[in-house]
Amino acid sequence: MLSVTADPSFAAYYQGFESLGASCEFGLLQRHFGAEPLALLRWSAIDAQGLIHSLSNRFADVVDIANLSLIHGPNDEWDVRTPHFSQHLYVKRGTADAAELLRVTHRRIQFQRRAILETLEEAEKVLVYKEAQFRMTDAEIAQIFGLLRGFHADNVFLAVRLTGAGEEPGSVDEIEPGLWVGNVELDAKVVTRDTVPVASWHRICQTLRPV
Amino acid sequence: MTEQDVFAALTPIFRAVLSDDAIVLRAETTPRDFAGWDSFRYIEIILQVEEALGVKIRSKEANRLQNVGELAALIATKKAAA
Repeated sequence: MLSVTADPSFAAYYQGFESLGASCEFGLLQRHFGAEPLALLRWSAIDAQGLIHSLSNRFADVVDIANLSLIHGPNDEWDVRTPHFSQHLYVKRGTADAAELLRVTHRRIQFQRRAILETLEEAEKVLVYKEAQFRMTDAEIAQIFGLLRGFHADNVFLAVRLTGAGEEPGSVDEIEPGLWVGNVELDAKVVTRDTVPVASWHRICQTLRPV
Repeated sequence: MTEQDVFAALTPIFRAVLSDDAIVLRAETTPRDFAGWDSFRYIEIILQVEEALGVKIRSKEANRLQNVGELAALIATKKAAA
C-alpha cells in the first residue's frame, strides 16, 4: 500500500496538517513522510461525537487526572482512556509502574491539550478527521466544522470518509470555503503502517494544499 | 544565559528522558541520532526544559525545531527577553 516514496522533503509539508482522529491513520501517514507533530489526537481513537464534545469544552475533561485511566490496548500495551477518547501509549504492560505511567501520561496530555488549543486558535494547519468503523454524518461534519471555525474563522477542515459506491479513492471536494470532504480506501480492519493508503491521502492533501 | 549555559542544562534532561548517560549534545544533534526517540519523549523533554529553565515553548515552536542547536538558541532568546 505504501506506493508513494517517503520523500523526506514532505516532512515539513505534513507538519502543516493536524490529525483530529478518528484513528492513527493520518498520524502514520505523517510518519511515512517523516513528520512527527506533537498532536494530542494523532495516536488516539475518538469518534465524531467524542470530538464534538471535546471541541465544545476545549478538551477540559483531560485536565483532571481522575478522568484518566489505563486500559489494555493492542499488542499487550497500555492505552489511556479519557472521557471522550483513548490514546495509545506504546508501553508494554508489566514494564512500567502503572501509577507512574498514568502520572507521566497526564502531564504529557496537558502539554498536548495546550498544543491543540494553540493549533485551533492559530488556524495555520489543515485539520483532518477520518471516520473509522462508522459513517460520519453530514450533520456531524457540519457541527465539527462550526466548532473549528469557533476557534478561528480561518480554520480549514478536511473530513475524510471511507470510499463508498461511486466514490473515487483520493478524491476531495470543497463543500464550502474551508470545508473539504475526501475519500480514501482502507481494506484492513486494523490500521498499520503498511495498510495506510498513502497515494490516496497524498493526492487529497496536495489537492487541498498544493506544495 | 548563553547558549553554552543552555547546552549544559539540556544535557542532563536529555540523558534522563532518553535513559542514556552517554549522551553528548552538539548543535547539529537531531532526533534521528537517538535510539528510542519519539514524539512522547520529545514532549517530556520540552516539559522538563520549561520547568528547569523557566521558559514556555509553544507547540508551533517545538514542531519547527530541527536540532538541539535550534532548541538552545530558542531558549537563550526567550531567557534574554524575559
